[in-house]
Amino acid sequence: MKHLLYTYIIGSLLMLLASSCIKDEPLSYESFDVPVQMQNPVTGEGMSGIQVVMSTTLGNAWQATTDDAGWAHFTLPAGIYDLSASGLFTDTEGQEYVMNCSSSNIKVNAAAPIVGRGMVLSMVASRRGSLIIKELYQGGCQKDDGSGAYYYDKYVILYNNGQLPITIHQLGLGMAPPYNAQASNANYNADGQLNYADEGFIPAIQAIWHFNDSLHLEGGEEIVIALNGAVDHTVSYSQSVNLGKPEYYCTYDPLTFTNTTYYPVPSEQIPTSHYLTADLYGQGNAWPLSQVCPAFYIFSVPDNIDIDAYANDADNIWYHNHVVSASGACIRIPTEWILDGVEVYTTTSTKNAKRLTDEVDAGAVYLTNTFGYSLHRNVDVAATKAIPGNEERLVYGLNETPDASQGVVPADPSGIHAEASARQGSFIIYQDTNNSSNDFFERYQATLRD
Amino acid sequence: MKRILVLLLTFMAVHAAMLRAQPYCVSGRVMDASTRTPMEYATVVHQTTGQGTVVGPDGTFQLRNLPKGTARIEVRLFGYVPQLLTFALTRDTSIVVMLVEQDLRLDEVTVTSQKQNIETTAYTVDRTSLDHNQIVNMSDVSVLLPGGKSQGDQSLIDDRRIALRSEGTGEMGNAAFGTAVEVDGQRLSNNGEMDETTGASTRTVTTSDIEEVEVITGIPSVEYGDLSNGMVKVKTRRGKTPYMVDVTLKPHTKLAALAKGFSLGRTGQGGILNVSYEWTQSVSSLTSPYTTYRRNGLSLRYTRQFLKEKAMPLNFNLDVKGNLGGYNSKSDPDAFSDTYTKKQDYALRSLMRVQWQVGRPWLSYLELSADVSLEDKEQRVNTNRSSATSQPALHTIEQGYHIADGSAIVMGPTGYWYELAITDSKPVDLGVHLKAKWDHEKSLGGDYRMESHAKAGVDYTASGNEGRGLYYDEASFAPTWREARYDTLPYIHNLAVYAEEQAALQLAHKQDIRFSFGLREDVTHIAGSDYGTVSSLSPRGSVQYGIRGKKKELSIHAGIGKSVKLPSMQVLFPTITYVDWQTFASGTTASGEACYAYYTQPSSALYNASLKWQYSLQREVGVEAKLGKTRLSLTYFNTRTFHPYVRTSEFQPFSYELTSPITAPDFPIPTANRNYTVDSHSGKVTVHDATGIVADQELPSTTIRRYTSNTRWVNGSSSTRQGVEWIVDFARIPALRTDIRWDGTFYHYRGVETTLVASHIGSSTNQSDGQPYSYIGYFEGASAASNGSVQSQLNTNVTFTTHIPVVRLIVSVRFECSFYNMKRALREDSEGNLTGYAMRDATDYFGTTSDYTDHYVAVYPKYYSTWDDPTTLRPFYDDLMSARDGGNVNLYNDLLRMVRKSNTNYYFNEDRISPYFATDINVTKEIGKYVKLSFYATNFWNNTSRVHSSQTDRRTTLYNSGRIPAFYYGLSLKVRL
Repeated sequence: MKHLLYTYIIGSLLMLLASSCIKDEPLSYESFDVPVQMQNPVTGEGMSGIQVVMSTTLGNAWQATTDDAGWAHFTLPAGIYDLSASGLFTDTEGQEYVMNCSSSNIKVNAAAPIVGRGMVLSMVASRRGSLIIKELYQGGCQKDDGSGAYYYDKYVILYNNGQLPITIHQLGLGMAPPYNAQASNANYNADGQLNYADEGFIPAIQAIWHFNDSLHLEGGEEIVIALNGAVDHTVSYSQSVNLGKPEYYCTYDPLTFTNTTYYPVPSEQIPTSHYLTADLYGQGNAWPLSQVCPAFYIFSVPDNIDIDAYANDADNIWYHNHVVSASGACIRIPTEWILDGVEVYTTTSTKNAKRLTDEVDAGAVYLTNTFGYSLHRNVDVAATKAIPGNEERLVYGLNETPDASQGVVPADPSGIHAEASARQGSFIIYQDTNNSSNDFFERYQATLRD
Repeated sequence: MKRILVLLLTFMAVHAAMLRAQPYCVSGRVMDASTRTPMEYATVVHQTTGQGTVVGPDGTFQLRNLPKGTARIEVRLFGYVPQLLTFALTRDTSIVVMLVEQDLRLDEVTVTSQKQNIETTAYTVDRTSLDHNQIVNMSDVSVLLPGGKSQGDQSLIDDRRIALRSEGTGEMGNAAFGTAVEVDGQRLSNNGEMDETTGASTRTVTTSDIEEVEVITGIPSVEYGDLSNGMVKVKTRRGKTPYMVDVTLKPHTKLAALAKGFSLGRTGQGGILNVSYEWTQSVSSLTSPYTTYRRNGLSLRYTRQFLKEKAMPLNFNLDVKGNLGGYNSKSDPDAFSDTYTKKQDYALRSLMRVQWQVGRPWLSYLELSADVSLEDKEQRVNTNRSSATSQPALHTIEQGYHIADGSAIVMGPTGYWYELAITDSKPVDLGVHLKAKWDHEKSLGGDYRMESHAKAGVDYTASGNEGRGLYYDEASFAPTWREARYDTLPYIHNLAVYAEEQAALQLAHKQDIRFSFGLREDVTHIAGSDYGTVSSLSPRGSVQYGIRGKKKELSIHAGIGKSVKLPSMQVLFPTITYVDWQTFASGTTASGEACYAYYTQPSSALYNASLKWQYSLQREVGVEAKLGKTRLSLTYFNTRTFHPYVRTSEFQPFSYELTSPITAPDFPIPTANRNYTVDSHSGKVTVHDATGIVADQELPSTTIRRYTSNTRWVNGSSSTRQGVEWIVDFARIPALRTDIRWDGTFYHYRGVETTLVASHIGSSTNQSDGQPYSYIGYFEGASAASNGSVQSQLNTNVTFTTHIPVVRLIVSVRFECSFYNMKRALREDSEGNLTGYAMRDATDYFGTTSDYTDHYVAVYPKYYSTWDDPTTLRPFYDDLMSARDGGNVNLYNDLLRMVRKSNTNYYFNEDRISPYFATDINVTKEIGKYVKLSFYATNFWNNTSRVHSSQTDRRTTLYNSGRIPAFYYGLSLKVRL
């Protein structure tokens, strides 16, 4: 027994001695200098005044603005980062462009080549459009009996963000694959870029919806499109919304999508001219916009191309994840047709991956679903206040809502309550930098419940 | 039927005429080898004739009327090693049998399956092996067959079925459906199940009272019908036994059992009653152990011999076995309040058998048995539902247009409710069997001798279901559903007649030839079936030649047999299915109410006058050898399935009227006053004013062109399974007291379906003009990228069994090795020509008919037809090219939609998985005379290494892959009191 005891003590001392001789590894909280340059895609020159954000999958973020030479300087702990950058650029002819850039899986550690030397990224220019997605509500709400969430009350609000009237022809709705941001996504190249990023299109999986007539909107006018049941959901679900109002539009095409749970016959008050039509090239009896984290966008097909014919043209088919299957069938929607898009990430996963390219949406907005929260545009404070007579009609205090005070849901950073302000006669201009990280916030409840 | 009756009568007459042999008597005593005391209640059975008796208090027994020839007398008593005595019976003979206690002090203990040395391939698994491997689900005995794979978690939550000589997944035919299972001579039939077509469930079979399992993978006797993939025979324990307690603990499963064999009457003359009870429970999850499957099996087995002292004694058996239990998730606290799934698995099975040992030249043995099996498999699923709008629930059973009227179409509730769906299934199986045997021995001069053991019999079985089928406890909450009561369906009646000759020819120089040949005629009748009464003939035969010396033995066997699997109820008496098209929906009101109309099309399978019965042709050749103490068996088998039943669809054009909801603000009848009707023939929707003020308003409609489809069962293409099975039991290494077994299988399957099948790409798909898709494609085999597959596997096990009698310990370590595992999808025609087009890119549609490797593959339908001209089959490829070259863009795009493509560019690559291994350990230790402990661990090194797939050129982990058993363990305790 004594032998065993002695052996144990001597062994422990030797282990202690050996461990003291081991050289310390770099500690994980050591920081590294990472300069990043944002370049003009045409001239190759550095662009100043660009907001650059480096964020981790855990939600930690570092922000810097580029200097005159286009460099933003970061001091970062070791880790893996996603970069998102956006800003405005006006060319010599006065045309304003939204400049965006994003990059994923940037490794920062002692051996990383970018540490000290930095990295240079080229930005992507895109034009701002008048028709924007003002609000997307697709995360569902809690049922009254406590049995879980109710999801068949999705809707989107489209808004004319300009002061002039617009007419949109062949307006369509699409969603990029995969349905959920955190799902397996083999559409990335080995270098971490989406394989369609340089191809000039965004895939639209399964089916697209489109208006049967041109859509005319006055400046500041909006429309509600019910994406599932165009009925009053509050009849059974008190936390839900009423989508059965006569002015609303709805996705309803019983010849194509026969699932009456997704698509009960719309409210008798909604005219059939407000029904959108589906073009299905994948499979399914419903259009399954993710209730967790979709990549949703709107587009307009040029007049010289018939939207139905385009969707039915076999040459336009593209397959998600390189897997040929009806469930992964997409069509290519040229990026230049896309008016607006929103990339949604889920707060329940750290594996979210971008599906929309920088030209459409260089960022992403996080959603905690099932609690009735919606994704809403931030107010462009400067532009809104610039409109004569607007400022005094603005209503503040949205960030003082009960949920926000509990720290559950962030509000519009400006504190402006856009809906209340509009009701006071204010003309709201929403922020449109083609970057959801900047443009959207998670609202404490759907605006249709205000 | 007439032909077989004539054949049977001729067979009996010829055989009776041959029999002139004088019957003999075998008497003797059965003693305990160590104490020399009489062994009362031991059973003595003459194996050839089946005659048996029970040893009396003084240890004596007597078997009368035994035929001349080689006598094989088996003596059994619980707790003792069974003795098989083989000797030439040429006169009345007296023998003394010494029984030795069966425990681990013996030299010869086996914990693996044993190959039977007969003219076909069959294996025996005894109680010691079952204990050592802690089998709790009878289907897991396949683990002990050559090349068998351990299961890991043997939980009862999964309702596994046995499929012999098949790898199951992706193969044509239905191997599990063709594998028969019998418990004490009573067939576990699945013919009365209405919601599945597969092999019988074995979860209700208690395992603690099994004495022995016999697995016939080769050509079975014609006595066994309604099978095509072998036979599993379970024999339970009989005879007087002490109290036996069995406790088994595994992470997901617990088992407790109590059994005893009672002698009735003062001297046991009242017979022997074996009683056993077993409780087994499996949980689906260790972290939430509330969803369970329970088995409560009670078994009563009564055995008695009448007229024991008379010339023609009568053996009587009466078995009653029952089970209460099933799957239940009701107590799961993680589920929403009152939502659950409960599946009863109640069973009551009874078998009565009378064996009359006639022992006369004109008849040796007669057996009459009757059995009944009643099961109650009621399933109750309670689900919480809610809806913001009233949803249509369709109960229409008549063709035509129907509108929500509270009966044919019911508008469901809004708000919250529970929906309790009950599937009432009560399968019933009945059987009456009569079997007769004739035994006969003839000397042919010199050392030549011939024994003949013939049997003939008649089987009658009936299968049906007395359940109500699916229904809902609250009709107003029922979703779309049509009542289809099982108890109104007719029974399947099957009458079979068979005759078989089994003969052994003893030659000079210790050589012998055994052969058997039999015919079986099955006649199946279902009242009201379009197919009427159907019949099939199954001839089977096998032969074995052997040279048997003291140290060397060699035998060769070969067999061929035809097994017919008659069509299932699904084919012979098809149920009606319904297709519903929504034709109208009024707008939803503010309170969520709406009114829907549908066109309903009932359809059932079409009669196919040229349908042939599916059968398997089994062939096998085997060799067995004994060289010293090394034993070898090697079998090649080839099973080809002909005319498999294939379900195809036939499409007929039809059209219906589609009416849009009213949303015009100036519609003359206000919303609140609208009543809707639909003309059941024209589909026209009319709005009526409830106040009667406004005249009826017929709504405009548009015509929609669709297809209706009917099922037609046809005969598909043949498929082949073949392979080699082997067992090598090496001579024991005396110094280590270790036996080594090497067993394995090489299995190869190939099947390509080339039957022309019609396919429509789906009702949701529209064509270029916006109308529903109007073309039907005709594909060879399947409207998918592949129409067949080929696969091969080489699985071997090496088992080291160390047995130390002095400490009553046996340890076995088994290395499960998969050396070769290959699978490849095929797309070819009946002559083996490639019919797919290899393409570089997923979005291509044209390519070359060359090697598919690393290519996407497009498959065109061979023909297509149109809605306007459904009977003309147009050449697809020619028309596609014409449309492309002629600028018919719409037709070109519409036809391309029918093209099927492989999912990936590696889909048709050969998928070879690199070798992988797992190691299992089993330990059994006896503690004194009364206690036995067993422990096992599968994959105990927890092998989670990676294997390479040649299909994707990637390496994937074995963990949770299903290729090797999961790391798992169990402990069991057995006590004899």
